[in-house]
Amino acid sequence: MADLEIRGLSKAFGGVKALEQVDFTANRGEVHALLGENGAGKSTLIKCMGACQSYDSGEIYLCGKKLEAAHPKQAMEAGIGIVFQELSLIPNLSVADNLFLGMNLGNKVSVTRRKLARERAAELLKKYQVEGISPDSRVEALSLSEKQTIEIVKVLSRDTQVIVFDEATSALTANRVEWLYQLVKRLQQEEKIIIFISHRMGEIRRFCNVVTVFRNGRNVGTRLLNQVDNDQLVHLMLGRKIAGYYPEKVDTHRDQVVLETRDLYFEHYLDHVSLALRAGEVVGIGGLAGQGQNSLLLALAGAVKPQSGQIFIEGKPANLKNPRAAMEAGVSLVPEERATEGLVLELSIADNLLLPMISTITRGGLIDSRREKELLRHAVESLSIKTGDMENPVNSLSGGNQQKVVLAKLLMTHPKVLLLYDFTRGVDVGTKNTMFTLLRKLAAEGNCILFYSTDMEELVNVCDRVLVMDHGAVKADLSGEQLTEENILKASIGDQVA
Amino acid sequence: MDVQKRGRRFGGINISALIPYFLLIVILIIMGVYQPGVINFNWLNRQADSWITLALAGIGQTLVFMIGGTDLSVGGLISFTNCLAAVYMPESPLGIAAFSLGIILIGAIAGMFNGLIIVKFRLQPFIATLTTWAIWSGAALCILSVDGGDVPKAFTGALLHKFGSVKVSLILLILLGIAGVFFKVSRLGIALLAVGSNEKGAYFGGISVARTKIAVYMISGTLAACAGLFRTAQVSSGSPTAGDAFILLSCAAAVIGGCSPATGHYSFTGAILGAVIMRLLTNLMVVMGVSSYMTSFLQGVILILSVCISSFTVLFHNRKKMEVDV
Repeated sequence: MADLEIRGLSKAFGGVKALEQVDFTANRGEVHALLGENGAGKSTLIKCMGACQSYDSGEIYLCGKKLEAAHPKQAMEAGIGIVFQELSLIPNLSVADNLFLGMNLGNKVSVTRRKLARERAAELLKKYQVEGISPDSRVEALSLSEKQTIEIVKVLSRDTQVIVFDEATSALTANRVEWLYQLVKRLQQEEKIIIFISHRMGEIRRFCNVVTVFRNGRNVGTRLLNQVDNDQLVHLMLGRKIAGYYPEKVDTHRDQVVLETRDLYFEHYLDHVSLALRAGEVVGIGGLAGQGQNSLLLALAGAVKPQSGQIFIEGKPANLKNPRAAMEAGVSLVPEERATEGLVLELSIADNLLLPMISTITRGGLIDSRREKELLRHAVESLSIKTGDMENPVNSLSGGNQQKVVLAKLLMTHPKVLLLYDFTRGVDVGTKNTMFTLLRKLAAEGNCILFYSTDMEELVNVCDRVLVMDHGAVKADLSGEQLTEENILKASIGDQVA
Repeated sequence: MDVQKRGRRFGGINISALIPYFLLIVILIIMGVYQPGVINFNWLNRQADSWITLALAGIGQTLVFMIGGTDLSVGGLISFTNCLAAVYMPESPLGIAAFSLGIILIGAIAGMFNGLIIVKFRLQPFIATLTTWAIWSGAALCILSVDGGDVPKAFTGALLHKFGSVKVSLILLILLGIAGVFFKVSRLGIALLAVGSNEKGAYFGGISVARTKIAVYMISGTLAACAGLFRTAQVSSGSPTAGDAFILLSCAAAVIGGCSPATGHYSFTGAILGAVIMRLLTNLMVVMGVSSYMTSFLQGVILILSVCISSFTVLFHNRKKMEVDV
């Protein structure tokens, strides 16, 4: 039996299978990489290991002993330490208090406990050669890289058998990555079981010796890193996809630039984004999750204000101070959370559709019902929304139809630029087809569409060109022959595009 | 050195923590002008009695605020414990001690009940404690439908006792302030900050979020029961509506005391000062001849002003994040 062995682990969220009969083994002294697209199941797997999430079936064995932890703390005590991607530090506490959060320091009275925590924290920071961070600093005042460092030290201090790094390097500065490298090598010599999740191929090759690839919630293969090349790994990650429901791509772009940005910047979120969108074109935004795509769309929709940079609409500087101003300028967004940001679930379908139009159909504060009916009929027909009754609440519709309502609602304002945030998530295949056909139709009519998706297959098959974002910056602009899933993936993980 | 350090110095500023000191000084100056020579040690001794009840409830409210809750039930609990003590407290010294302990225990259990229903049934703290406020107020009315009751002399004497020339309540206020320093660095104190500022992080860090919340409501209930006991001794009678004013006043004491869940700043001393300020303001209004009908109005105005000031500091605090700000 391997030192860490997972057998037949399954986990479903509603109808979506996040993990399906996953077997996985890792041994002492190896640095084991997990690789896969967004949503392939890596994070779910380690959350199950760390008891941060329950699983439906399957077993986890650590050193021959079955793991039965109901709470992250118990998993930690059983020997599984996880450095989380979303930082689990408490911003309002000091570094020392964070390091010993939830730990028993011998049940000392409070003041001596604090002193003890501070001393022990100083020792720990020294032991792991962390310089420039005081045990007394409030975590909130630390930089992202420093926070990640503390998170790593916190997990290491628990002296667990397994140490999982979930994209720990993405927040680290270059010299801290080097620090982590030395640390991982030391842990490897101490015969720990090290699991390393990263999307950066260079790092994986440097840190790890074994790699397991995940696709659609399944383990699709474990390889020794010195026996496999990058192309083979990318192939494993993508697999063979079924073609099908995509409408034909017809180039309808016109030369007129509708929306242009110059050097949009917000510390940690957007890194000097300059782009130009032309009428009649469908532009995709790709990249790993959380690389600034959301911030970019929110900035263009007027929901957040960048610290610097300019936005031009049809050549004129635009001041998008809120979503309403953006809508008036012709930019509309289908937001990330359909349920909370896109719709008012308890209101009727009709009310939801009319929400952005409310000022144009009211006369003296009252709604002009004839004009209302006319608008609604038009909206429902153009999108073939299946509605029993327009007066039913929107939450009586299926996810796909809800999304259509969101879209119909925005189309009623006749936007020149349509921003879509992952709007096919949780939408069935048939609806996707309707949506994509509509997108192409809108483009042909001269609209401009900016479409963010976590699904690379969609990006490649629907968009005329795809911008790949990484660390808040646009790293690649792929079109024509270059627009392939392989290239998007390569650009996302910092590899050169062929 | 990392490059991402700009703006870190702003993290330390905490304007709301300074508000109570500033306000107190202003009020003391105004009082000095209106009634020269009135502020002396005897005055302090006398005032401490009215301060302690509100300080106890205010500290409880502060802790509850820090985990993102509210506790309206303190009002009902103070009325209930007040009526219970005024009607049923026995005469013998041993009986008084046992009965007082029992009342404090009731406070703890009532608080635990608040915590349990909030945690287990995921109720909004506002709704949960509003209903328990109604329950305890109703129970108080069952015991005593009009003001009255008979409080044992020995009990009154004990809580209003003077050590030398210093009153019990004054000593207690100071002890509470000191206790706060210890509480903040205790395990529960740290768990409370963790739960209040990053619930998920606290959970992943091995803290029992549910237990922490319940413990905090228990403290609030316990302190409210203590406030009820003090109120009983001071007035020497019971009133089924004694606690109602404490709902607004305890929230005001907490807010003026500078507690801020967003930044993680709070202190017992702040809450005590908040209570002192609210009491002094009421006194001041009487001295200045403001109609008693105006008192509540002005208290509300003061409360909303301090809420706005502390909210402003939070806005300042959040400016570094690129998030949708409606």
